[in-house]
Amino acid sequence: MRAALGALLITAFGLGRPLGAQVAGASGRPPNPPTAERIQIMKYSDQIGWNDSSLSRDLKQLTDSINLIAGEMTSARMKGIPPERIGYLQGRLGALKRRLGGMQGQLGQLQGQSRALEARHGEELNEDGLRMHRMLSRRDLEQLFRHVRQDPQGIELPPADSIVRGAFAVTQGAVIGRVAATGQLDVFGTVNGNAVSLNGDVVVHKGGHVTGDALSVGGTVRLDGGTIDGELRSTDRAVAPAAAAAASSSGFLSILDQLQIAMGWLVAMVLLGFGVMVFAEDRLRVVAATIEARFGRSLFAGLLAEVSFIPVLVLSIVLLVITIIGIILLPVAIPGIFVLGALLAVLGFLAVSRVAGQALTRRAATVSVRGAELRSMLAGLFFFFGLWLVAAILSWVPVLGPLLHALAFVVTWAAVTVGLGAAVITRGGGRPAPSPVATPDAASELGWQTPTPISGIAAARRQATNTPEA
Amino acid sequence: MRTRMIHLALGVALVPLAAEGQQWRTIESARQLTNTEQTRVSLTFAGGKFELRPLTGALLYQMHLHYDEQSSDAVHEFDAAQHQLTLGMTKANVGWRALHSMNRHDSGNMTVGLNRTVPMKLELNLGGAAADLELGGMRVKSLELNMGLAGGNVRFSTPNAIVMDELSVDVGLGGVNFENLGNANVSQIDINGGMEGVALNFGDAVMHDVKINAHVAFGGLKIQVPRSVGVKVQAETKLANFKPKGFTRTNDAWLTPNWNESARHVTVVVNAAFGSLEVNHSDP
Repeated sequence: MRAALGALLITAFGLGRPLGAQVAGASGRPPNPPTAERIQIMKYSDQIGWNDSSLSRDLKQLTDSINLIAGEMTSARMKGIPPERIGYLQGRLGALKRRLGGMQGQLGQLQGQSRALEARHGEELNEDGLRMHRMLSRRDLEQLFRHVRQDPQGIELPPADSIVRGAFAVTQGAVIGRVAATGQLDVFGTVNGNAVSLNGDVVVHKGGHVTGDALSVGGTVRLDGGTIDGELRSTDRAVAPAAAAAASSSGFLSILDQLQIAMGWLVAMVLLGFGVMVFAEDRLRVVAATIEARFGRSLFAGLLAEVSFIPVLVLSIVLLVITIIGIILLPVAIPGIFVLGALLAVLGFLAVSRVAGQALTRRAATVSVRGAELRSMLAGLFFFFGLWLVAAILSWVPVLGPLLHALAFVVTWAAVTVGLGAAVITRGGGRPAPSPVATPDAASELGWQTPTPISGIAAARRQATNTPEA
Repeated sequence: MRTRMIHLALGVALVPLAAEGQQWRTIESARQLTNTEQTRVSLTFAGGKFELRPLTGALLYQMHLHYDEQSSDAVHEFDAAQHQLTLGMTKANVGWRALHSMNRHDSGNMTVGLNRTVPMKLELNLGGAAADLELGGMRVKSLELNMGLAGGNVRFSTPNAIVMDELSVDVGLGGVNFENLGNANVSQIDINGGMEGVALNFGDAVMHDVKINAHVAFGGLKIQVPRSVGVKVQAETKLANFKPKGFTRTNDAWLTPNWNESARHVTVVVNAAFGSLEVNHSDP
């Protein structure tokens, strides 16, 4: 009875096999045959003074108390249960509970010390023993170390050969430098630096002190009466930024990102194109005609404009700040230069789009000049941004994706440069278009279809005559 | 049949990509309390759910953050010399992508506990996160609340232990409801209202005379104060609805009849456009 109750208690509180064996031995029952594992644990218990500790005395008293209460209960069952006896038994049980709580704390300490010894001896226990964490292969460990070192949420680790394989405990009174273990890390002493557990918990017990941060990867950081000067941090896993970046570049969200940006630019340019067609149609025609007539010169002017933008900006600032009026104008003039540059670039790009679109839609049926011009411009815009859309969709393909991006960038840059150059040459389309191409292609193509000019003939009022018809 | 096969092939190709594009991660961070010096706290979160609670015990703060690592970076910094605590996500990463990712999966969440014994200047940037803040019993010296799309609820269930110098609310598309604002112990409230409006319920008592400066549009502003408190409203409205029930007009302001006798006063200076302005006494 006594042994059974003791064993039940030990099992219920998860005290482990060594204590169970000890209690069984105390009850007079012959101990189990010593397996290799039990011998190992008993060796540890010898080293930490297991048998001489107050815990064994407490256990003895505890089993005596259980025996006493069991006897009382049997007696009460036979003779009936007076209320005062029940109160007495309840009081005893309460006292027993308090003692059990105290013993649990001591057991936690002993378990940590036994883990420390285990780690020191470099010996392994199976899952029936004290170590309960999942064992990692050498390759897993190396990968874990690398990820934790590179992880922005990680921490600086000691060299790999200094990382304890398995659980580790910093014993009471011990003072050590930074420590990392691949299992649970119990701190009873002092860690001058960071305390890291990979694949386990960090527990700082009463009297334990970590002067740096405490990090657990795959576990938790717990304070059990100890002190951590730095941060208590736990992550579910370690992630190397390189892996994250690779996943990001090939991820579906990244594709959506790029598609949205390309579509946004396309919509914006189409709207700007409508605006230019409404408010600055003549300027757009002049710039487009200049691109057709003087492509090389436009490209050169565009390159020159791009290269000289920063020097011109700096020169403008210098010239402005040397006069009082210039200083007053500075807040308006500098943004004005940027706005002017952007307007010229947009005008030029729309003109290039129209010229490119003319080539793409040459065979399409034409209704009117403006309709043809609009269609050309839209076709050109769809062509340029279509390159970006295709590049975005195929961005996950290892070599093709970056190549398409590069192609889209080069083509777009060339178009903007040529358009900007043409816009600069014509002062934003304010100068007359060069003579070789005076009218848009669409109009010239339509010219043969009808003897009437596309722009129509102004109707003239017939002169009134008083002479009667013959 | 051919089209169906193409769709199937595209689906098979895109599913792993979509799965690869997400890297959900959980981080827990905390720090032990070493002193009770006033601390500036900056909390930033993009999308999902955000919760703030007072913390009892020996920790300065405790944060649980679940986020998509592909779209954002976690921040958990404490400058002990400057008494500056920064938690959540970097502001640079609070973009549409983080918002989209963390809202779409309804998995992004951030829960923060702040020690109630430490005086704090709180700055919250919540992007598109739906917020639930319980600030009762804390020591809030100032509160700057910037909410983007989702809005949320702010409660002062128990009195703020110190006088709050300023409460500033900037709301975008969402709305925000304050409950028991009288417990905030605040003297100045600045509001830039959003599409879904701002509701200020002062609860049963007002601990401090309050001046509210509000610029609201569309959603409007709804203020509810205890019957014992005197209220003065100076409203400039443009196409906004304002019907002051139980107020009397004096010069350029509307006053409640108990303005002169009241021990506590709430002054509302509001510039409203398109929305509605509603100020009334709560039922006894």
